[in-house]
Parts: sequence; C-alpha cells; structure tokens
Amino acid sequence: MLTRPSDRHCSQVKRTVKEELLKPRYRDAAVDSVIEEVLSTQGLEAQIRNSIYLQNLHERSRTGGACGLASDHAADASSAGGGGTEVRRSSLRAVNDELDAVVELRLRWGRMLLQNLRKLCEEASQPLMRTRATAESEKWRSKRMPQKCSFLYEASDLVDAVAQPHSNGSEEVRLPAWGISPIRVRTPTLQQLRARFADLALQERQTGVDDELRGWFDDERIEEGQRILANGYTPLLEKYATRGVPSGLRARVWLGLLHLQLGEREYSHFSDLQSEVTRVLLLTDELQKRDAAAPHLEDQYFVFVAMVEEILLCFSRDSQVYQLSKHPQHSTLVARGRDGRHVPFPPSGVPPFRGQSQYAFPLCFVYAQPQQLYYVYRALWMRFWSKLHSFSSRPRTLLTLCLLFEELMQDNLTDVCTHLMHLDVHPTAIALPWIISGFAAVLPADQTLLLWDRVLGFDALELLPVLAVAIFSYRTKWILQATNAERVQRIMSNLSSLKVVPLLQTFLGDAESLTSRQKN
Amino acid sequence: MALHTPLRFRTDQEKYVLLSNFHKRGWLRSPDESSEWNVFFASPHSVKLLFSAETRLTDAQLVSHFPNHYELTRKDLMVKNLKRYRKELERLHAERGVEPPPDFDLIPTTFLLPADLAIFIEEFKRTPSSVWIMKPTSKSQGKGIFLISRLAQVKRWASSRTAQQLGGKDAYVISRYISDPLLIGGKKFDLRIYVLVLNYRPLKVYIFKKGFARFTTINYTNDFSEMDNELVHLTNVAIQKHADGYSATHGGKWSLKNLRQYLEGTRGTAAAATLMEEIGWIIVHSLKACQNVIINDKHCFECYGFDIMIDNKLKPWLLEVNASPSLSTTTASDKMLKLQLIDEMLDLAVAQHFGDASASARPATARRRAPADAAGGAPHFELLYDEAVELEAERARRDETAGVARRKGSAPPGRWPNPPTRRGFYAPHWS
Ligand SMILES: Nc1ncnc2c1ncn2[C@@H]1O[C@H](COP(=O)(O)OP(=O)(O)O)[C@@H](O)[C@H]1O
Ligand SMILES: [Mg+2]
Repeated sequence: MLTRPSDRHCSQVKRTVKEELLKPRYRDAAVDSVIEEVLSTQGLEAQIRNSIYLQNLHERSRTGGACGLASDHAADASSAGGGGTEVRRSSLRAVNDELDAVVELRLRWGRMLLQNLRKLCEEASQPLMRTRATAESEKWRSKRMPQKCSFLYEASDLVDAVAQPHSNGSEEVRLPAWGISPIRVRTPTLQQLRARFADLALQERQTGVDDELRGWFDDERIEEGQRILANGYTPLLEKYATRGVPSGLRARVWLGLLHLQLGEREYSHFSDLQSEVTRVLLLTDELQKRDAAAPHLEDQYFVFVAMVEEILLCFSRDSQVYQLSKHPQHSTLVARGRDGRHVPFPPSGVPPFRGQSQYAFPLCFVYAQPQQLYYVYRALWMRFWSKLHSFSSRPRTLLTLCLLFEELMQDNLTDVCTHLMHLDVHPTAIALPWIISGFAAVLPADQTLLLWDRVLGFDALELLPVLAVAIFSYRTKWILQATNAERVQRIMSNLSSLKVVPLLQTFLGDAESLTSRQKN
Repeated sequence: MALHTPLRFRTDQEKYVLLSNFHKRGWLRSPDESSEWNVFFASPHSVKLLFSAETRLTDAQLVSHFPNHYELTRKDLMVKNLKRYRKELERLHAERGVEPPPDFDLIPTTFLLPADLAIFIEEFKRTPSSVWIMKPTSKSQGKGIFLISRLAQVKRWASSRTAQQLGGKDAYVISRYISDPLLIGGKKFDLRIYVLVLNYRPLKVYIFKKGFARFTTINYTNDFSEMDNELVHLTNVAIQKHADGYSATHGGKWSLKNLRQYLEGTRGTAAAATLMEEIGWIIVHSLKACQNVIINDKHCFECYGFDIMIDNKLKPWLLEVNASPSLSTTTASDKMLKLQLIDEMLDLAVAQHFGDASASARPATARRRAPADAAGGAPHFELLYDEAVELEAERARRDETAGVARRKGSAPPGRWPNPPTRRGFYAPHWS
C-alpha cells in the first residue's frame, strides 16, 4: 500500500515527541504533561488536525458517491506527498462502469496516440529511449530532431476527439442539441454553483480586485494570511484561498493547500530525476524543449524557458507520477522494456503534448527554487490538470466540464449561442482550449494565478467553464454585433486585458437577474 | 528668438520615436545650423558645441541636456561627485552629533585609474580573491570593459599604456565586480530606468515607471574559464544582440512590472517594495550629489538612463548614468515604450519651461491634454522628488518645533520614495 500523508504525519509527530522526551530537561517531568507541552510548542497540533482532516476526506471518498458536488480531492491528496512503493501496473485502468461513448472515445484516443508515437519514431529515426552514451556514439545520426516532427497531441486534438460523432450512438444523447459533448450526466446548475461559490459573491471583498482599489485591504489580507499560515490548518487555508491569495504569501499557502512538505526525500528524488535527464534521452525530449521554448506570452515568460524545460524533462521521467496517480483516465502509452516487461512511456505515464509547459510558466512567478516549482507543478497536474486530459463521465473531467460549459451557455446565453451557430462558430471550440490550459494559454500570469487560487481554494475545476461562460457573457454585445466568423474569432482571441475576479463575480452574482431577464 | 506657433524643433538624431512625436504635435523642423528653434533635441556632442559657442539662449528655447551633464554621466566624474557627497553627509552627521549615515553604498567600491592606482592596490590586497571590473570612463555599450582577478593584470595594463593615453580619454574606472547578482532563470540582468530632471536647484525629478530589465542570453557563472565571456557578464543589448540565443521578438527585455511581480511572489511584497524604494533613493542621491556642480541653466531639461544592478540579497547598485539612453527600438513593445517616454517627457518639459505660453504655442489639434499639471498629463511618469516641496515641508516642521503650529503637506505618497529626510541622514540643503 501507498503510505497516506496522514500516516506520514502521524509517524512524524510520534518521532518528534519521542525525541523531545529523551531530552534531559524533561527528565523529571510526568510523561503526559511533557507530551502536551511538546505538542503545543512544536506546532504539532495543526499537523495532527490536518492528518485527521485528510484521513476523513480519504474515508469519505472511498465510501461516498463520486458524483455531484462532493469533493474528490481526497483521493489525490495522498498522491501529493513523496514517493510510494507499489507499482499499479494495469494498462486496463479504465474502469468498467463507464458509458459506451466514453469507452469508445478512450479506445480511439489511445489508438491515435499510439499511431502518432509510431510516426514520431519513424520520422525521427530514433528509439523511444536510449542512454546519452549510446546517442553520442551514434555519430552518424543527426542529433537534432527534424522540424516536421509533431507533438503527440495538442488541445485542438482533444476538442476534435470530443466532437467526433459517436459511432453507434443516436443523436438523442447529444444535449443540448448544438453541443459537442458526447455524454449526458447531471451537471450543477447555476443556482448550485452560486451557492457553492458564495465566497465569490459581489459583496465579498476579493484579492484581485479590492487590494488594487484599497491599500488597507491588501494589508489586512496579508495579516490574516500570516495568521492562518502560522496555524497551518488546511481547511482554514482553503477557505482563505477562495478569496484569493496575496502574491507575497502564495508560495507558502499553495504548498499547504497541496499538502506538500518538501524534505530530504523529495529533494533527493528530484536530483535523481535531474541525473536521469542527463543519463537517458527520451524520444519526446526534443518536442518538450520545443514546447518550453515557445511560451504563449513570450514577453512575460522568456526568462523562464530553461527552468520550465528542466521541469518538463524531469516530469516525464518521474515514474512516481504514474505510481501515485489513482485514476488517470488519460491514456497511458505502454512500451515493452528490454526484459520483456511492460512499462509506461514516458515513465511518468503522461504522453507529452503541446502546451504542457503552460501549466508551469505561471508558477515561475511564485517559486524560484526548482524543487518547489517541480513539486507544485507535479501536484497540480495530478490533482487538477490530468483530469482535463481524461475521458470519463466522472465530475470534473474533460467531458463533464465541457458539458457544464455547454449547458451554462445554453441556459444563460441562449442568444449568443444561436448567433454563433448562425455564423458557423462553435463556442465550445473556442472555449475548450482555454479550459484545457487552465486559462494559462490566454491570460497573463497574474490573472492566471488569481484564478488558480480559487480553483485550489474551492477545489473546483468547475470554475474554468464558469469563467469561460463569464467571458462570453462579458463580450455578448460585441459577439452579437459580429457578422462573420473571423470577427468573432478576433473578439475572443485577445483575453490578455481581462480581469478574472470581477468577471467571475459579475457572472455568478448576476445570474439570477440574467436568467429572469431571459425568461421575460 | 520667439516662441513660434507651432513650435520649431531641431534635432541631430534621426530617430523614429523622436520625429514621430514632433510630427504628431505639428511642430516644424528648423534647419540644422539654424538658431531659430524652440526645442532642440540634441546629442551630447551638439550640446557641447552649443554651449561653447557662447550663444545666449532665449526664454523661448529649450535644449535636451544640461551644459555639464558629464559631471553625472561620465563614469569617473560620477564617482568623484558621489565620494564628495558622501563625505559631506558624514561631516554633517558629525557636526550634529548624530549617528553616522546608515549603509550608504550607492555604487560598488570604485577607483579611478591610473590616478588611484596606489589606493586600489592596497584595497585589492585586503580582499585578494575578489574580482574587479575595468571600464573606460567615456565609452558606452559595453565597449572596452573587462574583468580582472589578479593584481598583475592591472599592473600590466597600466604599464602598457603611455602616460598620455592614460590621462585623457583612455582613463578607466575599476569597480568591485558584483559577483552575486540576482539571477532569474539562471541569467544575469540589469535595469534601465529613465529619469527626467527638469531642474537641479531646486531639484525636480520624475521617474518613468516603465523601465525594464535587460537579460543576458546565456546562463551566469563565476567560473574563471568564462571570465572573458562578455555574453555572461555584460548585459548591454549592444553586446547581447550578437549572441546566438538573442531573440528579436522579446530582445531580452523584461518589464519592471514583471520583475516586481516576480519578486513579490518569490521574495514577498515587502521586500519588493523596499527594493523599489531603494532604487528611488539611489536616483535621488546621485542627482543630489551633482546638484551643486551642474550648471542649472533654465533652458535645459534632461532624460537619463540609469543602469542599476540588483544583487542576490536584493540590494540595488548604481552602475552608471547615461546622458543619451538609446532611442533605437528593438521590439514592438520597446517601440511603444520609447514613443511614450518621449511623448510624456516632451509634455512635461514643455509645460514646465514655456508654461501657459506653450499651450497657446501649440496648434489647436495638438492640444490634447491639460499641460502644466505635474504628472497629470504624463501617466507613466511619477514625481520622484520635488525639492521645493521638501524645503517647504522642512520649514513647516521647523516652525512646528518652534511652537508655530503650521503644517504643510509634503510630497505626495507613492511607490517611490519621498524626500531623503525620511531616511535618517541629513541632506546638504539643510545646512
Ligand atoms: N560592478 C559591476 N558588477 C557587475 N557587473 C557590472 C558592473 N559594472 C558593469 N557591469 C556590467 O557591465 C555592463 C556595462 O557596464 P556600464 O557601466 O553600464 O558601461 P557601459 O557604458 O559600457 O554600458 C553593465 O550593464 C553590467 O551588465
Ligand atoms: Mg551601461
């Protein structure tokens, strides 16, 4: 079994207490009183409470229904910590309780990935993996990968895959009628979303708006944040993050939210990965370098290119990612090793795609230390972003988020949808790539981070489709005036001036008036 | 020479960012040798000729440099003035019997060569393992700069030159090399910050908020084998643009806004704010150091390019001040930035010097903004230091302690510092 972080916490706490007890100054004291004192002075209380909190989440996720609005982050919480031991090697990780449409999609997607990987092998005329020593002895082979070699996939491929008609399905499955989402499950209504995201209501002060308007608010938030950090209790941190984290505290708050305690073990694992990067070359390395070298917002991100490149190369070699991911519904490519055993390729089990670097660049404004950057990147992938690459009917995965977007559009911006369909523009085709990148592909770093604060705080990927709809809502006037597809594309292509928090606030706050207006 | 409508301009620099701004205002160009101009955007060389010809400028004329700006913008003279300023401050402190000035290192320890050779050797021996950087006093763009780590190198350098070479234009400064620069993404950078001085006595300084960091193209290392590699050690665009890794889309330039955001995230909001404030102090102090030697000709204004480096402990260091920062543009956003810089600078300078007269001297089409009002019409400039206000506030404070309860507002609060008095050491104008 994998060790749960709660177990790790417990043993840590026990060890600290034991060590303290051995100290000479406690020689004559009663054991109980010493324990009490040690717990309160060493800040262990919060640690114990966090263990209990995680433990509870864990239990609940095992017994409770996965659907609906309940959180399923507990299952991932345990993966955030350090290394595990058990290799769960089932390439048949697809659970059987999936809808036909989903099963078919996965098969098709897996085939496509495999095909693309084979093609890549041929075009590059390189094996999947080789040691640097071998590569250097093959002098006759050009080291550079031909420019034409393409990524295994990118966001638009995911959109295409979702949109592809379902072979044996009837059109009835597709609701709303214009939508591309191939499945039909229950998604939260706007009312439910409003209740869940009540902290984003217009009357609540927010970091990301009010700190810019009133200096004292920022000071107040910082003070509050420091208090909560000192206490260290996770639910408090989560609650705090729902209203945004001041940039100076974000690094520490996020480590807490992601249950990351970086120690000896994590550091040495990371340096092992670094040496792996020098020791072996993966077929996909060149593609990842290319991805890191062309950030979307070059003016803002160019200084981080080398850092992000290293993160990606380490990540693809990190077999812990594969071992710790409880339910990656994203497809994993499997290769046969020299000894005949099946191993995922790349070792992380995450097929490299174009845009992978987008999840790393904004983090460079928070973490200067490569180790922290790496583990936060990894934890965010495992807990959130991997779900945006997974075909499943579980909540908070690509298909259900896509469906949520379409239903919110349909219910709240009917006229925009109709108009866009007339112009032959599909709103989902515009919005899904935003959602898949966690908006990092379209927003500048500060806005992306403010959005991710809320995603982490609420533990809710649902905010991504909500924001997408909010953007459509905000630009309604211009969209309705557009008379051709190019114009719409232009209107929706530049989001770099948008302010995330007011957008979310207005949309979630305005919902009632919006729907009632449309009913009249 | 009268104030024309529209204004007449003259320039010896065919730069797009200048010409398009003159054009936009409807100003007319006067011929090169003509003295019929209202605004002369001149190179330092032309300014030298202008003032040596003993021409008398009229109140309808404005030129883009102070006559002896080199007191600040030549590397050796800047060092001299700063050292003298520092001594003055120390003396003032001693006289008043208060604590000596706090850490007041605006520049890395620097000596003039060959003049200070003996003192330098002494200093070198005290810290034999440190690295030094040699810079010609009056060159720019990284030309003639090299690093040294052994005394023999300096001695060899000195003996290889004739006395005549060493005297005039070929004089050097030698500074302690900042070998623990703040690195971002593994690379070294320095800051280019634009500063506008409208007047030296009383000092009136604006800072342009859109400065930028200039990055090297390759990773930094203190390795001896790379000591001669300019691409590792010198951040000048003139040098980096020849590197393989140079990109014409971003030009290795990162906005001050990005830097601030990065520092807030990785070092905390307070540390970032302190750094910005420190940089403001460096600017104010270096100007005050020259305040009394610069000829405060009222027909002049000047825009300086400050080169500032930040070390790993987030301490900023002044490297040099440029009299005519490059107006060439490398990227699209660089062009935007410099157009804005010139635009707002001209507005501020013209409004200050020609006052209301300038408003009527503009063609109606060009009168877009309310002139005269400090940085009101120049949103990207911020008033960094206004000595007149400062003196007034000081007088009020003194009156108050004398029992006269009369309070005057001091300089407006901002991200950039208020007057030096807050800093705990005394500025010369107090005496
Ligand atoms: N003391 C120093 N420590 C570290 N780097 C320095 C130092 N002085 C100069 N440099 C580097 O050399 C570059 C050029 O120096 P600078 O004084 O600005 O001369 P120039 O007039 O040639 O631009 C700077 O931009 C900086 O990158
Ligand atoms: Mg310079």
